[in-house]
Amino acid sequence: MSPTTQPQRSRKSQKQSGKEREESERPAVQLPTAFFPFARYTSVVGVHTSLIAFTALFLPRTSLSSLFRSSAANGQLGKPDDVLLTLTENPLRTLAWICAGSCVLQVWWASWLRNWALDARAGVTEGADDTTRRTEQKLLREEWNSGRFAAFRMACLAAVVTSVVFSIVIILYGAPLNSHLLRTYLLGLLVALLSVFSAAYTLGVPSLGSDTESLVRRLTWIRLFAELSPRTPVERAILYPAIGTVLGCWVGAIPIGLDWERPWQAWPLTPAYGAVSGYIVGSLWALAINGVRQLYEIQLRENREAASAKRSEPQHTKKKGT
Amino acid sequence: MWSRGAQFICWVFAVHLIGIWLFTRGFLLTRLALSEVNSCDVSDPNCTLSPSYKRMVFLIIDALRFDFISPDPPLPSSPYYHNVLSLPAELTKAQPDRSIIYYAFPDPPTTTLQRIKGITTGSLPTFVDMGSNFGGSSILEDSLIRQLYEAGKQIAFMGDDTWMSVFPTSFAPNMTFPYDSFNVEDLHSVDEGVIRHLLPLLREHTKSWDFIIGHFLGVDHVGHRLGPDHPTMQAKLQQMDNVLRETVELLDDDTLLVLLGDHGMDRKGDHGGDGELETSAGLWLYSKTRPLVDPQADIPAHLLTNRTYPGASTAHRSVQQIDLVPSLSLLLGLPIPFNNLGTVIPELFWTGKQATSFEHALRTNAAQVKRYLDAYRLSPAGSELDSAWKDIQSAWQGAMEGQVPALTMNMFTRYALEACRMLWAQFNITLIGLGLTTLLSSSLATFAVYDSLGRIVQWEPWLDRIASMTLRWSGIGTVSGLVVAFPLRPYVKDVAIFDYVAFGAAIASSFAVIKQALPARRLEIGSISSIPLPLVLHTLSFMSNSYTFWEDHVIPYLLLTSIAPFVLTGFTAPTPRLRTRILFFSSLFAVCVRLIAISTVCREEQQPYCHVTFFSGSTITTPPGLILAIVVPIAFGLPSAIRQYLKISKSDQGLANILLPTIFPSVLTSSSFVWILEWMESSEVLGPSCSGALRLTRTTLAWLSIGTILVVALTLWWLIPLCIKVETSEPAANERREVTIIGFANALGSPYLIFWLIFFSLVFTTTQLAGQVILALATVALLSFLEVVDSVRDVRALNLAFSSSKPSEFLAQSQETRSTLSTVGLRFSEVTPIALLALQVFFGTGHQAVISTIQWKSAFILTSSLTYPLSPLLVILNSLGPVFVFALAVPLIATWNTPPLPYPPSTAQNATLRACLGISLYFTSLLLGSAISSAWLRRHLMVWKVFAPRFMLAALCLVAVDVAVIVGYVIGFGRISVAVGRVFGSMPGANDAAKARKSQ
Repeated sequence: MSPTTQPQRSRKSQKQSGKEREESERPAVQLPTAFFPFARYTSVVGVHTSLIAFTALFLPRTSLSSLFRSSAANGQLGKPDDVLLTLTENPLRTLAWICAGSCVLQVWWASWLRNWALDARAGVTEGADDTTRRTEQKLLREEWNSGRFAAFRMACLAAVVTSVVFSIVIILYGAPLNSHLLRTYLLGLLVALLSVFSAAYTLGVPSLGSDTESLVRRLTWIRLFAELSPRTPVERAILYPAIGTVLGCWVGAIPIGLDWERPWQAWPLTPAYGAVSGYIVGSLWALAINGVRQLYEIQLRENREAASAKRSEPQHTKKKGT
Repeated sequence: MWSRGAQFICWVFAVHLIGIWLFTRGFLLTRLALSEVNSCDVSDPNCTLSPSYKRMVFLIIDALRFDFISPDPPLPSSPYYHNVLSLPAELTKAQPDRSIIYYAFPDPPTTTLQRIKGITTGSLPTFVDMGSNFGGSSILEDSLIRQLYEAGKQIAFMGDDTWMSVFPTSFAPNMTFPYDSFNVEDLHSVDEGVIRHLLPLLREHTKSWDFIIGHFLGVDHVGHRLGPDHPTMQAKLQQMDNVLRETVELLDDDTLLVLLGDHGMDRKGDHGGDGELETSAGLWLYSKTRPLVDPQADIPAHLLTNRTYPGASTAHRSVQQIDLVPSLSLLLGLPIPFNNLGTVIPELFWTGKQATSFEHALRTNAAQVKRYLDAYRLSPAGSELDSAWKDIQSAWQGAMEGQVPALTMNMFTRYALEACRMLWAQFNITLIGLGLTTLLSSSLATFAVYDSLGRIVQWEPWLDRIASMTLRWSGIGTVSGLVVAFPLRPYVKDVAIFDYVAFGAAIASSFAVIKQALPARRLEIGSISSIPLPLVLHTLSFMSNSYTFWEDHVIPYLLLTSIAPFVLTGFTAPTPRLRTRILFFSSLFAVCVRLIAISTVCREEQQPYCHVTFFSGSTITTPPGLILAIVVPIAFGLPSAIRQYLKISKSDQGLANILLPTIFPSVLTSSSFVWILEWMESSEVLGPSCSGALRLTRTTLAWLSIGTILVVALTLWWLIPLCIKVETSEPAANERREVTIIGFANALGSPYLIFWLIFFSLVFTTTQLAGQVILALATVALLSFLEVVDSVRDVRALNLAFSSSKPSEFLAQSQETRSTLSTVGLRFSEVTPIALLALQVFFGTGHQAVISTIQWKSAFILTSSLTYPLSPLLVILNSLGPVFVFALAVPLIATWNTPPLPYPPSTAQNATLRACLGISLYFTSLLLGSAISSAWLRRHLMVWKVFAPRFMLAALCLVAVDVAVIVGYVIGFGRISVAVGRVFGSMPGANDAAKARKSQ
C-alpha cells in the first residue's frame, strides 16, 4: 500500500544494471526510473492552470462571445462590475465557453500527460544515450502513438458518458429536476472534462473484460479513484486535480443557498467556478507533492550513494534518508 | 426487560429536558401581566371623553386579511377573495365621512387567542402565551370588556369560544352563544350560529344590549382547510358580505359598527407567525347616519401613517390594531384599559381645524400609558425597563412641555409602544447560559460514553458503574444546587430554586460521567478525519438565516454527501456481489432521497424560488392529482417491498409471514383511504349531501387501522416477535439430527423491523396523502441503507482479513456465527444518514420549521370534533412522527443482519446502545447549534421568524428522538433479546454448532 515502496524497488534494480560513469558525472540530474521531467512538468502545469483560469474568467468575455450579446450590453463595457456582469448575465453561455475552453486545454494536457506516462513506462532517462535502448523506446512510442486515436476516441466517449453520470449525480444532490437541465448538463460535462478525460486518455478506459490488461486497468482506476492512493507522479497529476474538481464543485454549491440575491449565485456558476478553482488547486498541489517527493528521492539516493561509498571503507554506519 | 444501558439513556433524556427547560425559560419571553384596573371616575374629564356612541357592534371575521376588504386590492386580483366582501369599499366610496377602512397591523404572534387579548387589552401578548392556544386562559389584565362590564353594560357574545376562555364571566348569560373554535373541518356552523343570534339582537326594538361581539370563524377555517384560492372562500366571503349588508341595514344612529380581522393569513391560508400577510388585517368602522370622521379635518400628515399592501398600487391608511382599544374606549365614554399601549386614531376625534377634542383624547391616552409604565416600573419586573426608562421619561417630559401637544404626545405613546415591543423581547441571559451549559456538558458526556462503549470490551460492568454514578452525582448536584441557590438568589434575577437544583444535578452528573469516560488517548491527526462533516455543517448552518430556511434543500445535499464514502467503499469491494449490492442500494437510496426532496410546502421566505408540491397548489390544500392516483397502490405494495428486503436474508418467516402479507397492507391502504375520503369530503367531489356518510366512513376506517395496529400487530409482536423458521431434518444413519434455522442471520433485525413498522403505520395514518408516499419512499431508502451498511461492513471485514496475518482463520470466524459488526464495529457515519433522513422526511411530509405548517387537519381523523387528549396527540404524531419513527429505526443499523449468537448478543446490544446515543448526539448537536444561534442572534431581525422557531423544532425533535431511542432500546430491543434468548440461549452448543444459514 505504501506509495513509496515501488519506486524504491525499481530504482534498486536499475542501479544493478550499472551506469556508474553517468552517475559519477551528473549525480544531480540523474533521475529515478519513474521518469520525472520536473522543469517541463512545472512549466506545463503553470501554463495549463493559467489557461484554465483564463478560460474561466476571460473566455466568456471575448469578442467572439460578445457577438451573441445585445448591443445594449456592449455599451456597458468598461464599467467596474462589467466583469461580473458579462460572466453572470447568461450562465449558460458562460458555462458553454468554459466547457469549450477546457475541452481544448484538456486535450493538450492529456496528450502531454500521456507522453509522460509513456516515457515513464518506457523508462526514459534524460541522459540515456544507449542507441538500442533508444530504438526500443522509439518502437514502443510508435506503437503507443498508433493507438492514440483509438484512445482519444475512447477518452471522449468516457467523458461524454461520465458527463451524463455527473449530471445525474448533481441532480441527486439537489439540482432542479424540471428546469435548468442544460445548465446542469454543462456543469456535469465540465466536471467530466476536468476530472475524467485526462485519466481516460492516459490510463485507458476501464472495461469489464476479464483479460489481464483490462483487469490491471480496472484495478488501477479503483486504486486511484476509489481508494485515492496514487503511486506515481503521473497518477498524482491525474488524481489530485480530479479530486480538487469534485470537491470544488461540491463546495461551490454551498454559497447558492445564501439570500444575497447576487447574479453570481445563478445556477450553476458557483459550482462551475468551484470546480475550476478546485482543479487548479489540485493541479498545483500535485505539482508541489511531486516536486517534494522528487527532491526527497534525490536526497535519499544521494545519501545511499554516500553510504555505499562509505561501505567500501571499513566503517559500517548506515545513514538513513531524511 | 429493564436492560443495561436503559438507565443511562433515561439519564441522557432527563439532562436534555433540563437543558431545554432552562434555555427555554430564558429565551422564550414572558411578560408580567399587571392586574390593575383603570377605575377612574367617568365624570372626571381626565378619565375619558363623553360618549359619542351608545352601542357598538364589534364583528370579527377571523383571518380577514386587508386585501379582502381593500378598495384597491393587489394585482392580479383573485376572483376568490378580492372585491367579494365589497360592502366596506362601496360604503367608503359613497359616504367617506361615515365609513373608513384601515390597514391594521396586528402584533405577532398572529394566533387568535393572542389577538383577542391584544384587541381587548391594548397590550402585546408575548410568544410564550402561544402554547395556551389549545386550552386558552382567562385574562388577568384590564380590558375593554372589563371596562364595559364594570360600567354595567350588557355584552352579547356569539362565535369563537376562545372568548369564553378569556372572559368566562363577563358576558350577559342570556346573550352568550359560544361555538367550538378548534374544529377546522367545520366551515359553517360557527358562522351560521353567529348569524342566527346576531340579527335578532339587532332587530330588537328596545335594545337589551350595549355591545355585541360576533366572531366569525369560517374564513379562517376555509383558509386553513382549503387555502384562500378556492371557490369556497368566495362563497364564504359572499356570505360575510350579505351578513354585513343586513347588519348595516339594521344599525341605528347610536351604534358604531366595527369590523376587523384579528390577523391576516399567508398564501396558503395559515397564520401564527409574523409574516407580512399574516400581519395584514382589515379594519372597517362604520356609523350609519352620524358622521364618523370630519372630511374637513386638517390633520397633520405625520399623524397619519400609511403602508402599502404587497402588490398593491398605492399605500393605504394604516394603524396599529391595538389603537382600537383607546379609540373605542373613548368613543364609548369608558376609561382606557390600564395596560393599553395603543394610541387614539386621530380621524375619529379630530373635527375641522380644531384639534381640541383630539388633544383631549390624546392627553387622556398618554396619561394612561404613563400610568401603566410607572406601575410596570414599580412591579417586580420593573428592572426590565432599566435601559429604556431614561428615554421614556424624557419623551414624557417632551409630551408635557411640547409646543404642539398633538405631536409630542403622539410621539410619547408611540415611543412607549416601541420600547415595550423591545422590552418584551428581553432575554434572561443567566438562564440561557445555564441551559446551554447543560446541553453542552450533556452532549460531551454522551459522546464520552458513546466513544468508550466502542473501545471497552467489558462494557457491561463499566456501564453499570457509569449508571450508578449518574444517580449518585445527580443527588450531590441537587444538594449543592440547593446550597448555592440561597446565597445567590438576591443577586441573580429570575432564577428559581428549581432551576438551581436541576442545573446542579445535570451538570454534576455530566461532569462525573465525562471524567470517568473521557478517552485518555490524545488527539491524533487521524481523528480529524472521523469528524462527521455533515453534522458539523448542519449545526453551523443554523447560524445563517438563509440555510435555516432552506434547510429542506440543505438536508438532501448533506444526506448524499454522507452516503458518498459508502459508495467509494463499494467500488473497492473485493467481490462483485458486494460491489453490485452496495452500488445498487446506494443508488436506490439516493434516488429515494431525491424524490422525497421534491415534496415541499414552501415557507414564506423561500418565495419566489419554491413551488408547493405537497399540495396541488400554493393556495389550496388538496393533494396533487398524481399522488391521488398512486397512493393506494403504494400503500398496498409497501409491505411486499419490505418483504423483498427481508427475503434477502431469508427472514421473511414467522411473524413477518403473518403480518406483512395481510395486516400491514390492509392497515396502510385503509389509512390512505381515510385521507382520500377527507379530500372527497372537503372538495365536495360527490356533492355536499355525501359529507356525513364520508365523515362516518373515514372515522371508522381510521379507528379500524389504528386499532388493528395497536391491538393485533402489537400483541402478536409481543407474543411472537421472531421472524425465523426452524426446520429439523430426519437424521440419517450415524449422523446427528440437523436443525436449520431459516432467518437466523437476521434474527435480531427482522423482528425489530416489524416492531418499527407498527409505529410507522401509526404515523402513516396521521399523515396526509403526499406525506404517505414520502413515508413509503423513506422506508425503501431506510432499508436500502441498511443493506448498504451491511455490505460495507462485509467489505471492511474482508479487507481486515486480507491484511491480517492469517486471513483464512479470520474469514472462517466471521463467516460463521460471528457478525461482521463485532469485527468492524459501528461508526457514527452510519448513524448520520438515519438522522438526516428523519429530518428529510419531516420536511417531505409537508412540514417546515414554522408554526403555520402544523397540519391541524390531522387532529380530526379519529373524531369529528376536538377531543382531548386525542386530537393534540394526533397533531403531535403528524408533526413529530416522522422524526420519531426514523429515530426509532436507528437500532436497525446495529441489529440488521446481525446474528443473535453468541448469546447473549452483547455486541449487538452494545452497538444498539451506541446507535441510540449516536442519533441522540446528532440531534443534541442540532439543538445546540440552533439554541446558540438564536441566543446569539436574539436581536436579529428574523429571530422570531427563523431562529426561534427552528430552536423550538430542534427541542421538540430532540425530545421525540430521546423518547424514540428509549422505546426502541428498552421495549423493542429488550423484548427481542429476551425472545432470542428463549430460542437460542438454551440451544446445546449454541455458541459454535448452530448451523447458520446466512445467505451471503
